[in-house]
Amino acid sequence: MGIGRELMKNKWLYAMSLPVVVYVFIFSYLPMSAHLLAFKLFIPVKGLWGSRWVGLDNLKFFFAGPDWLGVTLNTIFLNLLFMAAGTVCSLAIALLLNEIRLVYFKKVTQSLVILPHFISIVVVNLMVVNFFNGQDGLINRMLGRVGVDPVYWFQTPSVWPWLLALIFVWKGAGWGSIIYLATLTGFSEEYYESARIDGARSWQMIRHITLPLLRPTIIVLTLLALGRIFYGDFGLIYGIIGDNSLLYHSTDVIDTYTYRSLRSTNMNSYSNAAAVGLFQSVMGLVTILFFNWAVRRVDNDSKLF
Amino acid sequence: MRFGRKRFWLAAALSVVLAAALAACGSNGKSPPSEDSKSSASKDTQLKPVTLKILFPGDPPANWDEVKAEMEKRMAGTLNVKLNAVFIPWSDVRQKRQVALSSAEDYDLIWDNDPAQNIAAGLYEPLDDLIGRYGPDIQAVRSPELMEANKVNGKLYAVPLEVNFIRPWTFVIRQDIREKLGVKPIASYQELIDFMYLVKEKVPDITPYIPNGTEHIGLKLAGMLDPSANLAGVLSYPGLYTKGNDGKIYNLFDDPDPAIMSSFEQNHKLYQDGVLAKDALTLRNSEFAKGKAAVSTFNDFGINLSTRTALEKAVPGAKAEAFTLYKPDMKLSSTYKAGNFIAVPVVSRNKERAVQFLNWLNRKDNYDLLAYGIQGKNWEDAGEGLYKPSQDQPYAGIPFAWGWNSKLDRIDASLPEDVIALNKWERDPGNFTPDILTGFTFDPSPVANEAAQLANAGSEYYDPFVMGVTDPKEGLAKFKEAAYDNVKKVQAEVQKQLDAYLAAKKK
Amino acid sequence: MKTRLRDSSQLTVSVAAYVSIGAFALFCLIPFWLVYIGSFTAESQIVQGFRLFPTRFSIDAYRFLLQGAQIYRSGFVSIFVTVAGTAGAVLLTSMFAYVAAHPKVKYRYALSFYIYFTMLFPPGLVGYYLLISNWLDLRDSMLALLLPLLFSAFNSFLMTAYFRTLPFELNEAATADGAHELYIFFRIIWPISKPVIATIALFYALSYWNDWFNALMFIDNPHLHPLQMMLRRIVSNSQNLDYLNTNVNLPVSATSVQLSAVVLTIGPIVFLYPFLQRYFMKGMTIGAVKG
Repeated sequence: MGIGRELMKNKWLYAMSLPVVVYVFIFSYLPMSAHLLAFKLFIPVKGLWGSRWVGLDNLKFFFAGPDWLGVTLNTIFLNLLFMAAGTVCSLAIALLLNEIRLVYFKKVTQSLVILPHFISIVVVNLMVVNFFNGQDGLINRMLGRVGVDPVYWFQTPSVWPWLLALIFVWKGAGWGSIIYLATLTGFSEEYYESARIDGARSWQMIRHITLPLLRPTIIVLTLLALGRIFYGDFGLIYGIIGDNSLLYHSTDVIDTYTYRSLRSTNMNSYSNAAAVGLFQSVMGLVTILFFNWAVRRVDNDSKLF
Repeated sequence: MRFGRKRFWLAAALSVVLAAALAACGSNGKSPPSEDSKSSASKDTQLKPVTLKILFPGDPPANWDEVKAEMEKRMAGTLNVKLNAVFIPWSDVRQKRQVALSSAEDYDLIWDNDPAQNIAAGLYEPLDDLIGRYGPDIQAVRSPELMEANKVNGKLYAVPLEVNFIRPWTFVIRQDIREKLGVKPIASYQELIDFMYLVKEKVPDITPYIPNGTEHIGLKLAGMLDPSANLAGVLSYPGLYTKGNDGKIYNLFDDPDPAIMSSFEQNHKLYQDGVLAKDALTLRNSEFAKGKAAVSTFNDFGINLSTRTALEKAVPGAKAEAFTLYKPDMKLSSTYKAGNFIAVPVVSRNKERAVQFLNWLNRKDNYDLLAYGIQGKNWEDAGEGLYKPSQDQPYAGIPFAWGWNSKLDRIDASLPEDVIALNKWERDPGNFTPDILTGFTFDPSPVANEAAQLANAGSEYYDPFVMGVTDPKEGLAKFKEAAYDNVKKVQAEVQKQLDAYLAAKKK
Repeated sequence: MKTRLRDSSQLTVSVAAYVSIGAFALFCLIPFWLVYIGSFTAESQIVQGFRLFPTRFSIDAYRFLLQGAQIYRSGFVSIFVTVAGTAGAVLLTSMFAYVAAHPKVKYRYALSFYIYFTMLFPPGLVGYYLLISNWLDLRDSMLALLLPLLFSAFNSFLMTAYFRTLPFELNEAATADGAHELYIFFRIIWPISKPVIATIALFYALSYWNDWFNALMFIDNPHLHPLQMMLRRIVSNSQNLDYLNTNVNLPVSATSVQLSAVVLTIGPIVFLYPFLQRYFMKGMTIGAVKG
């Protein structure tokens, strides 16, 4: 019904989107065929198509045991924690930076808060061990100096969700604030001028002008993150927790669990991993469809699609 | 919901297009490798120059380019092989090898330290015929036990690379600390424990004992303390072990072997007394090279060169020495299983040349080149079976990845005499009796799901009490609760396959 | 921009802003400082743990690194891939994001979903490897570093969100004047979108600069290794520094070489930030929007 007409009418606009449409088809949709692996007993010599169809058997290793619920809940909890902490801190940094008038102070601090984002997880891990190890870690040495008994951090699972969130914020909040800063910069100074003339205070302006203006960006970022809520942050969590089983109880996520289960048995592990990935994706799809629907009801302009 | 439906149809249409496109790609993307076996079988292609692509672990050794050039020079005009060696860092080699194999990348030779799965998946070419035709030297330098024991279902899929017939390990001790404390050289396990306690007391800023994760302590320690009991783990399955060479698989819940259990108890005591590192589960023996541990554990006999030099750099004046309970007069059994292999993937287009090249490597002069570099520059002959690496330009070759065999391999003459003696002992297959497990290869696919779950339960519940971090009795009970069924299933499957293997061997 | 502090509440906000930003900046700086100092610390000291100031200062680690051939090869690869990749990526993404935000485009949400779907169903490792290595045959080619990162759905959504806030009445007027869509995009939209373009450029530049995974998977030839791959090589195997191709024989510890490599690989991209920073400073671009 009029697709052709619509395409003709805006042919230049559609033409502008064409390179990406083609690119995404090649680089994202073509390799998606490998998701077929999830339903196959993959034997490389027989290839993707020749391997035997086994349906949902590849998920058995994940669901048969008692662990899947725990790691799924951990995944959701840690992601929510990271999202909340990350969003609040990035937003706070952006708003506070926006209040700062000393140009040099602003420039320097702005550059400093993004620094941790450049440090690779290998180095972060080195530092975490240096800070928190039980025997001669920096923190325990400092505790010792003020007469407090050392805390064996690597044996205390309850603190790690918060420590991981702290590391997440340290690493990414400054970087994340760039998005908000860029958006803030686009706002017309007029809004603020008129508010100032009306005698509005700083925090009132933040609450009634800045935050509402930032709302679409916040919603988009949150929606994007929600779609991946079943995907754990493997790089960060495995990079820091590694194989320390004493901390699994609170930090093991779907991705690390799958990785550990499959690394020693590589026969069919790509199929198993693909099956778990598909599970994560489908759950993410359900989540995002729900929230996108919810957002559409509240604020139609901010919906993702 | 109008929009929703439209989106659905869009997605559906896309996936149809996608499937069609993929079908096209799939059929012409991978051409079957069958044609090459015919063409390369004819003799006249033999002298055609060929470049072999080889996958190696780690980094290229210093001076690799010169060694490679020398090899190519020696082969020019005869084998006419050029080398395209791809080195993959240790941390990534397993993943990279699997994706390369899964996507049929054009390797001709692949190093593999755990080929059972890839053989079962049909990724490696059976080599019996090719070795029969082109590999007399491959066979000549390897004992028949080694060649026989590393076959799978009666066929050899990968050339076994091994010089040692047992898997020894050793304690490594800070000699300088021992001497400072006035302790005489360690001669027994009890003296070692006493030394650790003394370090705890007298040298507070160093951790007395950091073993290499759970690799050596527990089961392996029990095995070292009483070699006649013949204790060994079953592949990497936590909770299973074999003993007494009786062809039975045991589990720790139903048959808690007292020697193993007392080893766990001792670790727990060491841990509680602050002798074993508090964060032992996250630390490895690399801490020793940083000067942070007084005692650690390493594979092999003696102290490897890199650990020695790293330690001396990190802590001026530090010295390391090795202590092991193995003695050359011990009567041990061997499964003759190799720890490294080199295989020819079925997709290789140069299978014959690859085997011819391997055969070439297994000649004395060529082996010396691949293992020790240029003679006179990188190393010197130091008598039968020995060599002396050059002081300033040693060549750290990787013989284990493509040539290792006990006939041609040399021992570093600068090692202490007792370590040389131990090395000579472990290299002679005649010093060992064949283990009942010799030649047996377990196919885990019938219990793949159970094995995957067991691997996970193992790192969560088994490792902590092996490491002594939790009480062994409590830990074992918890582990049993989490993994008993899976342990039983894997145990039963290994036993079933082993019984079938032994029955077939008798006939 | 002179803003007088009008009352106590304003003052509180300002003081809070200075103090908390200052504190967070310090919190971010310290670990980096430890790495930086570590890279200058003589080899025997570093194993004792990180410290705030070195007691024995040494630049041997840098001499060791900079006299090797590998860092120059890798540096060239990294810079080339980052510059070329970012330029292409920003162009493609901005065009697409603009269309996906344009109210005149009826299927803009379908386009968004087409992109979003790929975020939900990322290709698995095998599919991705097959594509780059077998179907496109990009192994050991710089294209294997360039192409995979040329478009990011996340960045595209960020841009779309920004473009949606633009006053599209502006273009209506221009279109009515008979201006071409491409003209409108490049001459009207592009100039007023500098903050978001700068942001996206920074994001792409960083993702190119920090990428090691594609190099690990597809580049076997060390001459084509980018800096991050070089770093990974010397971090993953501290015993073997031969990879760097240095002929000088200096008594350097692996740790300080690793740390100085960290510093050298972070350096250039950190300097990119202040260069783009002006686009995030208030008051640069507002004039244009008012129209």
